[in-house]
Amino acid sequence: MKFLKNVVSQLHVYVLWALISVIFWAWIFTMVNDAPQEKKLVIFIYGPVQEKDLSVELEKEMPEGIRMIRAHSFDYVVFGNGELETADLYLVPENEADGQSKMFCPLTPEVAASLLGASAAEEGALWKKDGVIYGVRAKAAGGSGPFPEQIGYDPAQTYYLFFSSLSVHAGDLTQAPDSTAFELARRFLPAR
Amino acid sequence: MHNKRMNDSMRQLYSAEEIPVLEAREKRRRAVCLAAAGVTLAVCVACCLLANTANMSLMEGTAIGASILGGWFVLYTRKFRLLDTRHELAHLRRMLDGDKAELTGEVQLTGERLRIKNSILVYPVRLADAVRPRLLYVSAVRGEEFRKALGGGKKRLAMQLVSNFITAWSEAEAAECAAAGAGTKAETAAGASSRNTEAESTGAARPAGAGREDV
Repeated sequence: MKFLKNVVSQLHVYVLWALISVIFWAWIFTMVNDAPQEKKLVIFIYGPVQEKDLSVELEKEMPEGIRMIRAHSFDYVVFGNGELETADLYLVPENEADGQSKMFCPLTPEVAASLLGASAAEEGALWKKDGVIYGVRAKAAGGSGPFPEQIGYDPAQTYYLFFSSLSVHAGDLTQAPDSTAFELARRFLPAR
Repeated sequence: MHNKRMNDSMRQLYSAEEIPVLEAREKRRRAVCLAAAGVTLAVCVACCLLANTANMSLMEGTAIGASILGGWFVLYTRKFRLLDTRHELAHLRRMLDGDKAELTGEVQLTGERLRIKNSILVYPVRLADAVRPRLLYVSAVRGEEFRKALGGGKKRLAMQLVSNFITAWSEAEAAECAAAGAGTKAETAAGASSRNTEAESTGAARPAGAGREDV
C-alpha cells in the first residue's frame, strides 16, 4: 500500500523517464544500425522485399572492409531520394528500368562480360538505353531469381542489376576506392 | 543541576548512538543506487555492442526495457530510501547540535502526519492552552510512544525543544516533582515580569530557571 502510494506520488517522474529512455535509446540504435557510406553496401530492389532477412543473408559473406550490407525496397524511400541515389546496386524489373535510369551508371562491354561471362552475348542479357549498356540480367522472365525467399519477384518480368553512378564501391566505374559492389553484384547474378 | 534532573526523567527521542547506524544505512543505500545505475548502463551498452542486423530489434527492445526498469528502480530507491535516510541523518544532527529549550504545557495532536519539505515525516502538535498559538512537531518515526501517550486528547507534558521539534518529553507532574526535588521552581514566561513585580512587592522574589517556559 505504501509502495503504491509512493509510486503514484511520483508517477509523472516515472512516465517522463520512460519517455526519455525510449527516445534516447531509439536514437542511439539508429546510429548503431547505420554505418558511413564507405563501410556499407546498399542495394535497392523494386518490389516486395523482406529487408531484414535479406540483409542478414547477404551479411553472411561480407566483403573485406565492409561493416554492413543493407537491402531495401524502393518503398523504403519516404522522406527523400538521398539514400536511393547514393546506393550501390539496383535490382529493377524491365518495365520499370527506364523510369529509374537517371541513377544508373553505364557499363562497358568488358564489365558486362566479366559479370555474366558467356551469357552476356545472349539476347536480353543486357539492358541498354540509347545504345549504352546499363544493366545485366539477374532473372529471366518465367525463371527464378536470386534470393527467391526474400524477394517477391514478378514471375513474368525480367530483372536487371544496375550500378549506381554515385556508388563509392564500384571501382573504376565511378572512380571509387574499392570494388566491393562487384562482389555483392555477383551474388545476384547467375553463376558464370 | 535542575535541568539535568529534568532531562534524566524525560524520554529522549534522539541519541548520538544512532548517527553511525544511519550513516552506515545511507552508505548502503547509496551503494545500491549506484550499483543499480551501473548495472543498467552496462546492460544497455552491452546491447549496443552485441547488436547486429539479425538481432537489432531484440537488442533495442532489451536496452529500452532495461533502461526503463533500472531507471525506475534507481529513482524509487533514491527518493524513498536514500533521501529519507539522508534527511533523517541531517535532522538527527540538527536536533543533537541545536539549542535546547524547555517548555511545559498542554499539548494535542492536530491531525495526520505530514512531510516537511526536504525533511522528515512529522506529527504536528498544538499547544492547547498557549497564550499565543504555537505549533510544535514530533518525528513520526520516533514519536509513536508520544502519540500513544496523547491518544486523541490533550495532555500536560514537559518537553525539550530544538527549533520547535520535540526532542524529549515527560508527563508534566513527574517533571514538576523532579523540579521540586531539585529545589527550583518553574516560572511562567508570559507573566514573568508581572509576577516578579508582584513577588517583589510581597517580598517573595523567585529565581528564574534558564530557558524555561511554563505556558
